[in-house]
Amino acid sequence: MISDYFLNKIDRRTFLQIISFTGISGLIYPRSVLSSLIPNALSRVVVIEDNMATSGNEINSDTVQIMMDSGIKSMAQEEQIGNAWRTLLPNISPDNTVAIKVNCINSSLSTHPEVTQAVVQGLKQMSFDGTFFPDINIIIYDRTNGELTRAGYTLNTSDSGVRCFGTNASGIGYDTTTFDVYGSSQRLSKIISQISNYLINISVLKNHGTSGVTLCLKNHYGTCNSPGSLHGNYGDPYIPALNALEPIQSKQMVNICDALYGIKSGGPSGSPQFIANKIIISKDIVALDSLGRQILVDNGCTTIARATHIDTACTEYGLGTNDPEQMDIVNIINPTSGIKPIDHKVNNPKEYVLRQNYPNPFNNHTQIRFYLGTAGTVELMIYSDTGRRIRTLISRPLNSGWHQVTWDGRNDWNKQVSSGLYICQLRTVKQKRAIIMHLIK
Amino acid sequence: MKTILKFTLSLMIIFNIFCSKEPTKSDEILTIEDLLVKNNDISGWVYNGTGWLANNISELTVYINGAAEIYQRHGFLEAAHQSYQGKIDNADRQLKLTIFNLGNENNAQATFEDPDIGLSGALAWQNGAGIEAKYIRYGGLSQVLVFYRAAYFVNLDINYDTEESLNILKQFALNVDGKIK
Repeated sequence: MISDYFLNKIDRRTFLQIISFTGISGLIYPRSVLSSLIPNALSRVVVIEDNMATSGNEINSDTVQIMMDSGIKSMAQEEQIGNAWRTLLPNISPDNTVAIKVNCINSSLSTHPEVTQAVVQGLKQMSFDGTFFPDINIIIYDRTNGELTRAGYTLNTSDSGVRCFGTNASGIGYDTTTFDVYGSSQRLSKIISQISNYLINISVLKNHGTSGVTLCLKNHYGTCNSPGSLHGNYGDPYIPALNALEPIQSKQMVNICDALYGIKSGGPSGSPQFIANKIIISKDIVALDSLGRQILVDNGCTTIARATHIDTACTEYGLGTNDPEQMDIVNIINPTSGIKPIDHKVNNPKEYVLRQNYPNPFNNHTQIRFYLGTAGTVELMIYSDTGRRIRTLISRPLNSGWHQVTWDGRNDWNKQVSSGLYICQLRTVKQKRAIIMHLIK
Repeated sequence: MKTILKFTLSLMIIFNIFCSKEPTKSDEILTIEDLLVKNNDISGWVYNGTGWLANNISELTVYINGAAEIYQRHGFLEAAHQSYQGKIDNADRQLKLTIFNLGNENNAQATFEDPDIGLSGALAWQNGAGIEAKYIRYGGLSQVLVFYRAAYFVNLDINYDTEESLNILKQFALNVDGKIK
C-alpha cells in the first residue's frame, strides 16, 4: 500500500501518470521505486535533540513532552498538536483504536514510559467536533505483562484510562492466522490483527549482537509469536519480511525511536552506555532506522555491518528509503530553549543565509530564520541603530541546516526596547550576514 | 556379659549415627541457581523481582532475545539470572547478574574473549574474580563486569557509574566466584 506520505507529496495527475507509465498498480508499487521517479518524494525524518532531556540517569518528562510535540508538529507540518496527530493518523475517528508498540525486552533500557506518555498526551489532544480522542482507545503493548511491568509501565486492562498489557494477557494472545515470514511460520498479536486500527512503533536506540542494530524494524519481533526462529543470517531478510506483512504495514503510521540513551556494544541487553538526548520520528521506518544506525555509528558502535536488514527493507521490500539523499531531515535542537532549527533538504542553500525577519515591522515578536552550510559556532546578535549590542540570541555551536529563533523585542536584561530600527547580525567563523528589523510599539 | 555386649553395641550404633560425616555445604552439588548471590548476601542488596533460569537456547532467546546467539556458539548449556536493587548515593540502583554454563572452561574463556560481548576497551581486573575478569565504565551511566572460571561465564551490570558501584559489582563477582571455586 502506498503511504499517505506519498499521496500527500504528489498530486493526483502525477500519481496517475506514474501508474500509467509503469503499467503496474500503485498499490503494490515499492516506495523506493516511486522515490526514484518523483524527485520531491523525500521521506521526512525529524530529529529532536534537547540537552535538558536527561540528567545522568534521570529523564525530564516535561522536556520530553515538548520534544515529542515539536517533532510531531514538524512531521505533520501542523501548528496544533491534536491536528498534527490527526494528520499522521489519516481518517482516524474516535471509535478507532491506536496501538503503541513499545520495546521492553531489556528492562534496563526500554522505551521509556516518559516518551510513551508524551505520545499518549498528544493523541488525547485529537479533537473530533469538540470531543477528544478517548484514552480507552489507546493501547500500550509489548510481548508480555512482565516485560511491561519491569520497564516501569502500569498494566491496565480496565474499562477506563489508557490500556496497557502484553500479548500474553488473559484473553489476548496470538491470532490463529499464520503468515509466511521468509519460510518461518508466524502468528501476530491480536492487538495488531484484531484490536487496533492504527499502530505507532516506539523503539529504543540499541546495537544488537546478531542483527547489528535493533530499532523500529526489529521492534516487531515483539509482535509475533516465534521471534526466536527469525534470527538466522543476521535477521536478514526476516526482519523486513515481517514488517512487510499486511496488518503491520497498513496500520503502522508513525515510527519513533526513543534515543534519549543508547547501547552501542553488547546489546540488546545491558544498561545505557551513552546519552544521545534525541527522539527520532518518521513515517518511513527504513529512513528512521538508517538514521538511528548512523547515530549508533557516531557513538562508536561496531556491529552495524550486520544491520543489512535495513538495506534489504529498502531494496527488496520497498518499505522505505535508506538513502540520505531521499530523506528530508529536519533537525530540531533544544526546543525547550525556543530555538527551532528547520532543515529542509529541498532547495537548501550552499552557504550561509540570513532571511528577513517575519513579521517586519513587528510589535511583540518576530521570527528570524537562518541557514548554516556547515555546523559550527554561531553568534546571532541584535544591535541598535547606533551600533550598540543589545541582545545575544545565540552564541554556541549549531548543526548545519535551517534554524529559527524568535526575538521578543527585549534586551539582555529582559527590558523591552523602544521603537526603532534594529540590526540583526549572523556571524560565523567564515562569514557575517545582517538584516534590518523595524520594531513598532 | 550379654547385657554389657548389648549396651556396647548400642553405644557403637548411636556413636556411629551421631558421628557419621554429615554432608557439608562444600560437598553438595551446586546447581547454577545456587551460584546466584542470595537476597541481602551483599548488605543492602535485595532481590528485585523474580529471576529466570534457561535450560536451553530457546528459553534463553525468550529472555535475552538475539543476544542468545553469542552463547549458543560457545556451547551454551544453561543460564541463571537475578536482578537486585540497592541504594547508592541515596537513590535506588539496579544490578543484574547472569551466569552462563558453557560446558567447559575453554568455552567460557572463548565467550569472555568474544568481541560480540561488547567490552572492547574494558579494563582488566587484576587478581579479581575468576581466571580473568574485566570491567568497563560508561561515563556516569552504567558499568559492566565479566569474568570466567571453570565452565562459567558471569556477567554483572549496574545502572550507575561510581567507584562505589564498581565496588558493589566486585563484591557480587567475588561472591559468585567463591561458590564456583
